[in-house]
Amino acid sequence: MKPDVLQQTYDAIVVGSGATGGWAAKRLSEAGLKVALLEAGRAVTPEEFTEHMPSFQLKYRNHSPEVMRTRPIQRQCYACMEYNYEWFVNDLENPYSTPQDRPFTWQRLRILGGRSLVWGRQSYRLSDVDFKAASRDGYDADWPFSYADLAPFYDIVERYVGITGAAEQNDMLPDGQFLPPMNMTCGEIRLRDSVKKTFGRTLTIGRAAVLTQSHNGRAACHYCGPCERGCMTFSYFSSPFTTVKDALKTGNCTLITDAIVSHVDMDATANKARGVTFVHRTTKETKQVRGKSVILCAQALESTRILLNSSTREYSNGLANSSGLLGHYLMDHVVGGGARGTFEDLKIPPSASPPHRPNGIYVVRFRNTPTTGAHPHFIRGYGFQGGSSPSFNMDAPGIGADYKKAVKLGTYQVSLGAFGESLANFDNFCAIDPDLKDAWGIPALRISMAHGKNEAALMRDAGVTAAEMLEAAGATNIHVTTGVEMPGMAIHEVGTARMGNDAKKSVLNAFCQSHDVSNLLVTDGSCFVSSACQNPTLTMMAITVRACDHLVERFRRREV
Amino acid sequence: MFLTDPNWKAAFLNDQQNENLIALSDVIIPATATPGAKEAMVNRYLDLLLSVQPAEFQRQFVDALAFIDSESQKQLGKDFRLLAPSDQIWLLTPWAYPRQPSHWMEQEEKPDPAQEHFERLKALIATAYYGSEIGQKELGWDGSVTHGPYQGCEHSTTAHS
Repeated sequence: MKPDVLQQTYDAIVVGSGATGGWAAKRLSEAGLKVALLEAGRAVTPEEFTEHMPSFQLKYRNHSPEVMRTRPIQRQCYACMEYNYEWFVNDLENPYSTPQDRPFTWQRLRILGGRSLVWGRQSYRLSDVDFKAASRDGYDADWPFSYADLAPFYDIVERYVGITGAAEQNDMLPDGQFLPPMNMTCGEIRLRDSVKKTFGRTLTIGRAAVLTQSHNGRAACHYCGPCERGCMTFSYFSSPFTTVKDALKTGNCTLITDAIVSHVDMDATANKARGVTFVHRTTKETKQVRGKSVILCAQALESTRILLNSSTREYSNGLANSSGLLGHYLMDHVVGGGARGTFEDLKIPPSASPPHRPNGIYVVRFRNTPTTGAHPHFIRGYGFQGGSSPSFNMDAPGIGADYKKAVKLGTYQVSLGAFGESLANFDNFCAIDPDLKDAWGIPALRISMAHGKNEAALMRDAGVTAAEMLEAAGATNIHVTTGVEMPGMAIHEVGTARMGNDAKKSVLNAFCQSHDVSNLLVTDGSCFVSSACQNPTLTMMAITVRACDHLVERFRRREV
Repeated sequence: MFLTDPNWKAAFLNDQQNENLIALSDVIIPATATPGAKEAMVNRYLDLLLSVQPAEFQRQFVDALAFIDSESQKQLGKDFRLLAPSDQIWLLTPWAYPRQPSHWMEQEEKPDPAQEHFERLKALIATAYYGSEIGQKELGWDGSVTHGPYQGCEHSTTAHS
């Protein structure tokens, strides 16, 4: 008979099975630790992937009333569709509140693999310009480690995940262990060359967790297009078919799905975490699982919510919160600034058939760098993501045969959209809403965040610089945006349990270990000290591996 | 596949609105060497879509259709669906292009509600047509899920400098 998975004491309990949880489970179980991996949602199978299903085979062609009814918040993300909306949380069952004048959109998945199933796959390293930013411009705090400390773990993650990209020898965006880069379009090559020549800025092909050759038993991308609907060849990185699979293969990892963790359980005498309590998703029964260490990888806001809901007599305002900073310094990249235009002389018609490249282009940050110097209006910077390709011209004027022809002929588009640094700010925070619970009776979050003057200046500048680059490359019909989108839109939320060397000024140490409770770790985006402007998932994964290796070492020294 | 039921009945539109929508969609996207909006059952998809949209969206659509009919009555004395094809084109064409102020008098032209109504209908008809299997084929979709690796620009290295 199978032993009851809840009767054992595990070496490590990992909460969350996404990009970071998958890595924690893999790394710890491969080192020989007995691991319980808890996921709030159900398992996922390749049979439910829909990347090859044309939208006319959907009843409402992606306008399902069920999505509008049950996912009014989740559908603000382009990846939440009639195809896959069941992967995203039901907003009616998973409420959170915000002050009326501080809206925040919170995109989340509860299913094995979490957001790694639908992520944008862009993978960029941070540099010491990011880790040591405070030392340069005086704002807030440096990270408790430097690039050299993290670089070996970036290497490990990239070699395993498979990152397509091109080396650029640019100090702002360190090169990594790349698979061959994807090719650029005619318009992108024109823009790249013009941007380099006119402004000395670096435009490179996107660095993405998509395979351009077979790698670690997974096939190269076949360029069908919509990765966010799954991939039958597992060519983009998602945890269920890589890290979690490896963890389970060791025989040391027990996967427990449908386990919605409500709080961490403490042994008050020893001041150690002794496990977690969860509510079963379907039966709603409350259960416990016991472990010698607890690693939260549930996503920044969710991990923070678990800690805030874990108050004890000793930790009355949330577990691991002696600093009073838990939940504070919430960041999410500011988006909204950019420009688009057309290259009218490029006469290349679009096609609805593949190949569709699941990747864009990237303009490396060029503001407030060691070479460009301090900008008079703002600190930190932004990178651009974008692309240039022909697209169908549904907005063509006219009717009849001429209109049909104009639609097919298309227009050659070029666009750049900025992702800017979101400054760490104590007043951007999440806390428990005393009047709100989810469908499982677990107290829900109140999220209070707004972008400030620096973020607004970044987006204004991004509109200006995007337009000047498009214009220099010969684009016409240029439209500029300089707005600041609602926080949460970038889906890069980080920072609510920051790392630091000073226990009074941070929640976690440099190895993601709670200053207060030594066998409690948080290795998702919660631990970030600053947001930088690069997409955060690669860094979260590298930090997780570093933290887990350190934990394994502590197990070897019998410190846990 | 959800629209081809031989016993199909409209879920939202009345008979006259449905007939008008068929006529209108077929003028905007007619059959040429390729099938047009009627074959793509644009009316049936839009009826389904409208049936699950908020009341305001439904009202704007119905108002726009009614406007086309009232203009058709006013200018040509018949409902739109009963006009000769050449008259249907004659009625719609001025609304299908960007407007410019008159050359003869130095006064600003007022925003044209007719154009707003027409553009709303045209955009939805285009979405319904190009989102159908017929429309996807019109745009070059061949049913393949792959045509091999992505090639990108295949010109010489200096072609875009």
